[in-house]
Amino acid sequence: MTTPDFPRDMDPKNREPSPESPEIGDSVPRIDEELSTEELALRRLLHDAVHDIEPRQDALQHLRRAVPARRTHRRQLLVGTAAACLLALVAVPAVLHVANTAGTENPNPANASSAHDTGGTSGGTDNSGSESALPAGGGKKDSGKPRKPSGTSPSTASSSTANPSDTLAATAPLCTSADLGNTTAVTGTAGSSGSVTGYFRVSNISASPCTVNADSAAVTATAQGSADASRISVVDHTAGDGTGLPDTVANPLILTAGQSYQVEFTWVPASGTTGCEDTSTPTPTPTPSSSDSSSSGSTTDGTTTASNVSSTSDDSGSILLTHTPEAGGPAVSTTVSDACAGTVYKTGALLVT
Amino acid sequence: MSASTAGTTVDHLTETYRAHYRSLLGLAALLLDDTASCEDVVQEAFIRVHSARNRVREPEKTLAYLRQTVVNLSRSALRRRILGLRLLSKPMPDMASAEEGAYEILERDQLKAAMRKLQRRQREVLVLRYFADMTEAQVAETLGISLGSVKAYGSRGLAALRVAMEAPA
Repeated sequence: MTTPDFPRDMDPKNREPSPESPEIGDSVPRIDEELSTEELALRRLLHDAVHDIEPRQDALQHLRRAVPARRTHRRQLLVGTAAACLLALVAVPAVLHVANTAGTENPNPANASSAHDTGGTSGGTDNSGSESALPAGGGKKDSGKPRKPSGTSPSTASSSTANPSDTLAATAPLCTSADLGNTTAVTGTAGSSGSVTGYFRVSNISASPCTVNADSAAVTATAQGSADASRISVVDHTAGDGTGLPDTVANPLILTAGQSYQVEFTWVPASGTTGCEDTSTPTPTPTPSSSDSSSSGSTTDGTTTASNVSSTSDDSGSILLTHTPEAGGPAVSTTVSDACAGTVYKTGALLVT
Repeated sequence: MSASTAGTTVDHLTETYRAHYRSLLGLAALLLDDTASCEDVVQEAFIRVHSARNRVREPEKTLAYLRQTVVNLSRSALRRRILGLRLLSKPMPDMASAEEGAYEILERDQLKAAMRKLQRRQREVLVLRYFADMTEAQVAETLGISLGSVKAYGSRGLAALRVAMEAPA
């Protein structure tokens, strides 16, 4: 084991440090005692090997610029990350909500609310036909090309006042429950045949336009009093069902700020003028009615209590109709009194002009 | 408030630069296979350490942070990345100064060639231990390995270096 023959006159400790740049290494003297000759030689060689490496002229100036720049960059990165997290927090529930809405929309079998002209066919083929004729993207596909005149626009004489659903469809988001409000529900009096018509009306109370899907206007019927829940059904209005309800245009509605849509309905009793049986025996159905009203009472407390009062005042049955917008709220309810069994025909969402 | 903070930061930066920049350049040059990118590595280490406020809060630890960052950046993957990002001109090449004799130049080239042949860990231990004058414990902490490993890498590195330096001579 021979040590390399290192020249002794090049000991780095003998070199004078230049005043503006201190000597390389820490030049700690105490380390010398611990090191062998070989290690000391290596130390000197290492220092020698790099002692002529000089910093660039602008090294410090560059650092003085680069350090604050990096700090700004880090801060921006932080802000950007925070913004991305916030976006994810907002966007993910929104996407989930849309997915949920689409999921509840699909199994709805009564998609026949569109003005479909294949009148003579049976109900089954009519349903399937209308479903295939109503792809969800159909309306949006048209509105995606905003400047291209669609088939309906020639009917409007002045192109300046174009159909709002043509011009706004690309931009208006789905109405949220916060966008909607100012709800009203009107129930008319029974006609000669015992049928009762009415409507729900919901306004866009936000400051910006939003979209409501015409075929997603949900209406539920809740039997109260002696009304028989099993004999009440809610169906979508179809052309030629004799109710005289307007046909639904199967396109997303664009509600500008302050504009309203309405869902019209007609109650057609099953038999007689009310659908109620003439049997005077009180139908002992307190439990279903209470459970029903409590389930619907989650959204509309006021209406439920009011209808409870009406149902206790007279023993005859009544039906609480509730419309819940696509966004989940606000629900609006009305009561058809003196009704026990029958069918509720309802339209989709119609733009109130 | 922020102005004064910035002021002290700049002073601290200048101070650290004066005290350690050259030695860190040497450290990087010894750790890297090629000396061309050593200044980029040191610049990046300075920028990283000084742009993290919690790192400059304790000035006595700045050198340790800087050395550790230089070691990390010198490792091949990061070095290649920096080479890819390189914006600056090439640093000073390792030219021999005129007053040095031929023997010293030969010896230095020998050393560089020998260092280059070492394992990365061995080279790091030797450079930190004998160039940066760190204790074995400090080397262990900087490299994130055990004290026993530092001793082993060091002795094996020395032996390998000895063989390499003797062979051509």
